[in-house]
Amino acid sequence: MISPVTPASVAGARFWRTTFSWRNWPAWLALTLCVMLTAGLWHQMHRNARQFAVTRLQLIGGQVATHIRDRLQAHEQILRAGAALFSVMGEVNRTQWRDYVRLLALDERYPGVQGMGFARFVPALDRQAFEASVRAEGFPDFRIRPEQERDVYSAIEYLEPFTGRNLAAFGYDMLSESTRRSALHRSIETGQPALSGKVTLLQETHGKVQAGVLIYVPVFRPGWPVETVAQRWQALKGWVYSPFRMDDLMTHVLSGYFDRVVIDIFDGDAISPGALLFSSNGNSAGRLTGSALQTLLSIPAMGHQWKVRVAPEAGFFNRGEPMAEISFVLAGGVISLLLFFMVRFLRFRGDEAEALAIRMTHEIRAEEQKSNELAQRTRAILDSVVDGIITIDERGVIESLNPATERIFGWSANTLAGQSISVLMPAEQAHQYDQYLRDYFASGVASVIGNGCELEGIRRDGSVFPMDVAISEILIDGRRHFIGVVRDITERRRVEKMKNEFVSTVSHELRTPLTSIGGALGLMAGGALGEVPASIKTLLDVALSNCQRLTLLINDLLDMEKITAGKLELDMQCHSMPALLESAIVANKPYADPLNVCLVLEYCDPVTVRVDALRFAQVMSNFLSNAAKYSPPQANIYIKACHVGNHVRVSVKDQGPGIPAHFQSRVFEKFSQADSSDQRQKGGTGLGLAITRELVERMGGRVGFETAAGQGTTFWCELPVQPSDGGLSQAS
Amino acid sequence: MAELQKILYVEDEPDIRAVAQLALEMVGGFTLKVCESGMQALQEGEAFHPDLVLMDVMMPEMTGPMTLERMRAMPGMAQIPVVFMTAKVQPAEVAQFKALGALDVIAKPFDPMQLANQVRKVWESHGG
Repeated sequence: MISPVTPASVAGARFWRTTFSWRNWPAWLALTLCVMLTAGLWHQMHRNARQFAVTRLQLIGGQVATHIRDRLQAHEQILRAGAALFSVMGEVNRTQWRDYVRLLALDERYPGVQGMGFARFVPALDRQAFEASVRAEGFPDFRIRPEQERDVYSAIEYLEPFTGRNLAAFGYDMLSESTRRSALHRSIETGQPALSGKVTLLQETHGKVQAGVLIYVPVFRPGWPVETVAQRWQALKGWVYSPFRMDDLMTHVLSGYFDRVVIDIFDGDAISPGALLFSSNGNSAGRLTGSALQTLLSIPAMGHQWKVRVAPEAGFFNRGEPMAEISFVLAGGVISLLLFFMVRFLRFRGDEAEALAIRMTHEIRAEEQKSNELAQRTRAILDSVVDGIITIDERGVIESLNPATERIFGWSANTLAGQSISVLMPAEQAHQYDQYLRDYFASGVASVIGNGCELEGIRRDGSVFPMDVAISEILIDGRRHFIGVVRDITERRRVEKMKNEFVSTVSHELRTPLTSIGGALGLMAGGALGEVPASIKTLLDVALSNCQRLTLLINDLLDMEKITAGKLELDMQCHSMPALLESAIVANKPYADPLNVCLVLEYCDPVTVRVDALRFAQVMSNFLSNAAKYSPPQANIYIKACHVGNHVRVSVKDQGPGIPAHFQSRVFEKFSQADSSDQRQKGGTGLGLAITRELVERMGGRVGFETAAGQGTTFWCELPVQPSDGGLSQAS
Repeated sequence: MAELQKILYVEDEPDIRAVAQLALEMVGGFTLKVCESGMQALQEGEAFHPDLVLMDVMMPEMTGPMTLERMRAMPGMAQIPVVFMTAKVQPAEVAQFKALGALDVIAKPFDPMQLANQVRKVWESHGG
């Protein structure tokens, strides 16, 4: 399956191609440099941070060491004080020691110390007596432990507080254990307080076993020489000492640091599990590989050495620091990428602009081609059209015209371009046309625009011809142009004229014999030649009335032809409406009587109208005869003339069947009569209403009708009323 | 006012001539001289001394108006009133005929029973 290639995917593929092409090296260079810079800066940042951390750690380490040292010193001092008590008092009994230690309130002042005690130095000879004296104090089971024979013994005689764990140490000979012994010996050798190495105290009777240390301060008999080691051994009474459970002690001393650092205290110089005295975090095994960041301090104390290792704990680092580093790296990365794409963009901007230009050019060309083709097609249509098409501007200057126009008018397009349109019309019509345009611009009302009309055109050879012109208006760029479609209707006119003349000729020809027939019949029927027998008279009447019918038909045809040819002449005079109606009724009575209908004048407003009396009579005859024709027997026909506004409406109402709906639109058309299934023959030419409408409109009025099925019909015509001072009496 | 007695009637169509002659003589009681053409009217009309000339317009060779013109050139007939008979009775047409010198125009087709009255009316309305 071939994946569809869309413009987007093509563009995308090209994008990646150019990105990774060798021409894109500046962008890659920029990216590399930027990344390297970021890396370098980050590294530096990291190192600085590291450095800072180290410094902080060292600072804390220093503080920790100082704390430890101070505490040890404090305890040293307290023990010295204890030893001083012995020296001063010579002898201190149990009760005195108890009180003394109690008064020191060590728990309050220096919590973490397991106790404070006195271990007597007991040479072998004095052992029995010593044990006895202690038993005598109330400890019947007291003996120096371990019990093996040795040259010298020591025994823990006092240990306050003498409760709990401390009871286990009562009578213990600390010389019997090597670590303790070396510290004890050291204290005599130096004559100074001595700190022991790591021991497991006897007090580890229950609970978690802690590492322990002891501090010994020798007590000498007062006054005895103590310059040399040997002398000191001679003068030795015992040691004042304190055991320390390291966890207990250090927790009290250092707890404030535990959230920030892990503190490990090692006995001596070595970092080994065996030497671990204290670890603030308990995972001593895991940590002893040494973390990246740590500081080591040595604390010499009382002839011994502790190594303190301080490493960062969770709370050591500011929350912000790693975040800052990450943000920095991210920012650096983003900037690098941006830089990369920017350089790439700049590099290929030219290429892409060019590609875009080419693409756009293609598109434009394609569009141009399309519109060219369209223009060509339109041009071909215009060129082949039979009617002339002319474009003019607002001022009536010809802008363009098609070949048909050239043919119609006989001018070439080049000659006509730039001329006024009036060169194509006879003089007075050109003037009229200008007037049309002026009116249109002034009022916006188009009489010629948008409608077709028949004007006269003038050809190059001066001949005038009739033309049918349809004008429309368009807006281009906000300017008005008019487009006229011109058709030479000379031929059409000729044919029409021929037809009309034919009708006229035929009608005239028909009239002549009719005159004779009608005349002859009229004479006979009128008795001019003598009495006529009734039967003959009947037939004569029949013939005569039909003759009259024919005459009417011909008159109608000729009227229609005159109207169509525009040759109808009206003799417009002012007449009084009542008089007009009066004579109409009289004239039509002979028609109505035989049909048994009665003409009733309801009322007539006394107005004056300007009409051709004969033609008005013709209109009234038309209305009245139609009404009579369609009235049932013994019906009435109601005539009235109402003055409404500046018009008078003359209406003729019959009581006939009304005009059927399907016929109503064709009432005033030529040769139309309602399709009747009525019994009575309707007669008539079918031209009456058409002629009536033309006549009334030519006299400045309108015609119309109202009808309802079964309720009769009212035909009306409206004519303008003349002011009562009478109008002009010129023929229109 | 003098009475209308003698009418010179000029009409080329024989049938119409026959009808009109009957209408005027029988119905109207006039004394008629009937001519078939304008030419004949010019030749024979003067001798008849008609009171009125009733003449068709559409005639071959010499139309009614042409005949009228000639008549006016003849001293013996110049003063005799002429009434045209024609189908062209539009006002302008009537005015045109009158301008030529006709007294009036009677419409064709005519009602033979009324023709005599029409002629008499025309005679009377123009003072005889």
